Amino acid sequence: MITLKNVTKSFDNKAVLSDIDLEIKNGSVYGIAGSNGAGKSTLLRLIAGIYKPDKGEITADKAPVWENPAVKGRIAFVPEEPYFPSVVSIKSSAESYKLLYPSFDFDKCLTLAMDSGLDYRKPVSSFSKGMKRQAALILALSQNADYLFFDETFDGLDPVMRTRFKNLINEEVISRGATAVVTSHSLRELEDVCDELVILHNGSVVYENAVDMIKSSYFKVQIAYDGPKREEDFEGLEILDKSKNNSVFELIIKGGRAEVTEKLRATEPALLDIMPLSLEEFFVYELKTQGYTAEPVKGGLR
Amino acid sequence: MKKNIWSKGLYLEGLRRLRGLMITFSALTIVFVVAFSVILRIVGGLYGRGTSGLYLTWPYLIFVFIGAPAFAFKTFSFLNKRGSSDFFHALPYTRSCIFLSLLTSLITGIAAVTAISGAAIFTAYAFSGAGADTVREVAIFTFCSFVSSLFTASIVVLSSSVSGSVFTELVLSGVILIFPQVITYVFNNFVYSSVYTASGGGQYNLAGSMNVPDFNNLPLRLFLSYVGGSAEDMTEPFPLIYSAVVCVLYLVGAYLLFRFRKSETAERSAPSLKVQAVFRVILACAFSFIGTLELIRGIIDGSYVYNYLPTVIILYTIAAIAYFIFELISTKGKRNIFKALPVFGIVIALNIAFAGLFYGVHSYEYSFGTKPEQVNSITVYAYNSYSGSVKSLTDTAYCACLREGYKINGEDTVNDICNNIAYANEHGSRSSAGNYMRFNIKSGPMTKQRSLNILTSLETKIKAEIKQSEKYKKYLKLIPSQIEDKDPYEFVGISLNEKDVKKNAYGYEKIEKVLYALRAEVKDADADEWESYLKSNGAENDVYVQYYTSFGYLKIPLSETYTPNAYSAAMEALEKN
Amino acid sequence: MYQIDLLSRVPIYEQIITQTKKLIAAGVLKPGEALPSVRSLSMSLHANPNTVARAFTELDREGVICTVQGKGCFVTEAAKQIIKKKSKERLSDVSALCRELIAAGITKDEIIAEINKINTDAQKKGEN
Repeated sequence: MITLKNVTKSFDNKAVLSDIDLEIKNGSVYGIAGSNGAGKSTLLRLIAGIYKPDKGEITADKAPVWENPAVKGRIAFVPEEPYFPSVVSIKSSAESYKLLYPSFDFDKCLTLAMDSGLDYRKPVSSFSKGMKRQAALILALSQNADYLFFDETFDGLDPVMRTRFKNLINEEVISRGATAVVTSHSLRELEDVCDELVILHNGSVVYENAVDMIKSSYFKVQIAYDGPKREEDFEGLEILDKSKNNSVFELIIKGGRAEVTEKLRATEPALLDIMPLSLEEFFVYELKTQGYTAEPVKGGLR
Repeated sequence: MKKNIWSKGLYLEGLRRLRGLMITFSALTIVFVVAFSVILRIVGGLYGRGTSGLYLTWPYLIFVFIGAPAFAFKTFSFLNKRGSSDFFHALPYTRSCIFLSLLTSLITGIAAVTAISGAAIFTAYAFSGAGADTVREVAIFTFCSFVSSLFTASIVVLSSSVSGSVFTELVLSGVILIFPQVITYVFNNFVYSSVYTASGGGQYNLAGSMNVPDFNNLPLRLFLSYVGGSAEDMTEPFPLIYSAVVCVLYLVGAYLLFRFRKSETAERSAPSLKVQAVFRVILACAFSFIGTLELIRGIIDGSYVYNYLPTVIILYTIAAIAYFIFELISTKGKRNIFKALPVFGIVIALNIAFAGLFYGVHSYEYSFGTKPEQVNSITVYAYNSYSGSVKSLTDTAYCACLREGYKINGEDTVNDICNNIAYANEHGSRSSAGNYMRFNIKSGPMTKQRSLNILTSLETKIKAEIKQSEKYKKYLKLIPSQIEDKDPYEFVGISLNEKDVKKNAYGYEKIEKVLYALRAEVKDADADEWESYLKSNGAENDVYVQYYTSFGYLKIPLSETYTPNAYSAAMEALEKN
Repeated sequence: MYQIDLLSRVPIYEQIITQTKKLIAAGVLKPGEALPSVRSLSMSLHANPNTVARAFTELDREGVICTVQGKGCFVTEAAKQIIKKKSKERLSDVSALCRELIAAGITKDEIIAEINKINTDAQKKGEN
């Protein structure tokens, strides 16, 4: 388990992350979503032991990560822009990895490359963007690390590549109980990959829960009445957002599906439509409550 | 424990990264050596060495100034890109381990190329049938090149550790390589050139010791030695030790900076805005300090303004341009130029402080040895080139005392010397006619050397004091041997009879017999009596023992009454001839 | 076998639960039969293994399947009964729908006819 306690990080006196408390459970796939500049990459680099926190502590299974080779040997980090220790070929890079990571599995790397249809003797520079990412992923996975960190690795991949990536990571999670953390600026990239979700905004954790929990406890409701609507009808419901179009109310409600349905039916609506909230919608509503909005602000688009 | 400070895997990875450069530079050297050997063989005659050092060792110079820095740059270039920086900082090794492992790869790489180059050069010279001297010279150059390579590499390692951009790294490396040496050289030179009595004899070091080379920085010496000097310069031990020590200090500094370096510095000029300001200030100071030195020296010396002001203005302009252009290029932001403006005040303040430092050191040197009450002791020396009118042994003994150094006791003499120095510092030479003398003046903890042409009246005083001394009497009665040795007389020949002064005209043994007799006779003689005898010049039949020394020549009269044995031995030698 | 929409608003674990129940109710998965492993299901659906595991845990809790350590998950004998019982609870959904249809002007007969159609379809299927 990776634990962050009061972690703060600033660049040039500007706080990028402030007072982050987070627990990343072993064996799960964490998604870290957030707007641009929310501090996702910084957070990932902190838990990978690349950056040193200004304040607070980061531990993996109770051992500090910073300057701790024993912990860092269990971490694999795939940056947004893939980096290869050698551009000559995947094989040459793998030789470097073999020298640098005691746990690196050379044969696994070559096998994975072959299975993915990558020629491990070809120069990495001749690869397409997706192939480069795939090569970086394969090298990282061959470290046999317990913690896998991916910085925007899924963003902008084609569906075939995405599926391949997901399966590669899932395989690590199933076979070795690995823990993965994936960042993205788009929830759509994360929702089918992760089982846990962290939303970062302005350097703070805004939300943290299981992905399925969101889908089964937030609902988008369209409701309309024949007569005038009585305000007290919605009492006892946790309404996050409310808007009215003609006579139709649009509500975002938090709660169990059965309970919400029952309560709303009791108000005898003329129209009732209950839909689980998509993650994207959830993201927008959640950030809206934090003052970050997709609506045009005075004078133009944000 | 060992695992935490060094890793074989990292070391090998470091070498893997250097492989390409190692092959390139080794190949370049071999191609150069082979090609040049062939050319020299065809041209002929030039094979051994030219005026610019050993031809075949030229690749060393290229390696010191291009190869080794490139090696260091390549080894630590990962710090300049975010991707590579993240990769290395994510590795399961401590910072110490990463630095030390890669440093050992770097040193191995440099050593390997030096060894391969050395082997190629030695082989080439072996085929040419070069002599032992050449082999020795090549060996010295190989060793100096290795140390110099480590020196230049360490500078790049240091600037890599503190910066995250190639541009800043190059600028810092250049500044660190050249400016400390140039500024101390100019500082030293200016101090002594404006203190008249200090500037006379050769170069001085601030520590007050002589014979410390001007350019202690080994790579610069190597450069100068190739471009204009002789290879022999490289045998000086001081620059080698100095450079080795500085190199180690740079590496220790680099290690500490690396250990505490923020990994997010990659692709940024400096780890923080403050450090970036420090870089700018250092760069501006590098140029402006020389301008300030020129300015304050001009003022101290009272030179005409137009003699020094153009140089000062040019250097100040360069400093200001460097300051702002550096900021513009390294941070890629035009707005930063305005933000950088306030810190320029620090550059000005540092220049004022530097001017103050120069003025302080100058004043100290200027007044050193001019106040008798502050002087602990003065030892007077004659110059090597002392060419006073030495005609008799009395003068020679005096000279011998001066050459060995004579500690002045007379308070009056000390006062006189101090006044002479003060006067000379203020007005330049006091007398162009007097003899050139050197004084080692001890004042407080410092011993410094001053030299000037002294007035005849002062020399008379010094001479009078010396003639009273035991040392003088000892030298007076010393009859030197005819063979050149360490004897202060350094004589080169002997002759009997002024008319025949050819060297060894009478044979070694016969003259030795005369000297032997003379020595025995002088040994028990009263010093004053002997001196007055020498002065009387009362030789019978013009028989003299005559020496030729580096001061001139001297003759010892022989007489039947005062030196009967020597006289008869001399007569015997003369008769038999 | 499973048809999962990974980007649906409906949680993936809910989709797995619903479909497993459907498969059991339709007799595709028979009592005592092994469910696909978490690994193979996760791989074939490209779904997060923890999500799959959670669905299985929920099914186990409901008694539809039972997990045998090291061997896998098996459909219980009582599975069909449990599913039937659970389905009865959903009759209220039908009433809500009917109320809506009636409000829209659809007659009671039309609704009954529709239900009868489903019934005959199911019977035909059973005969086959």
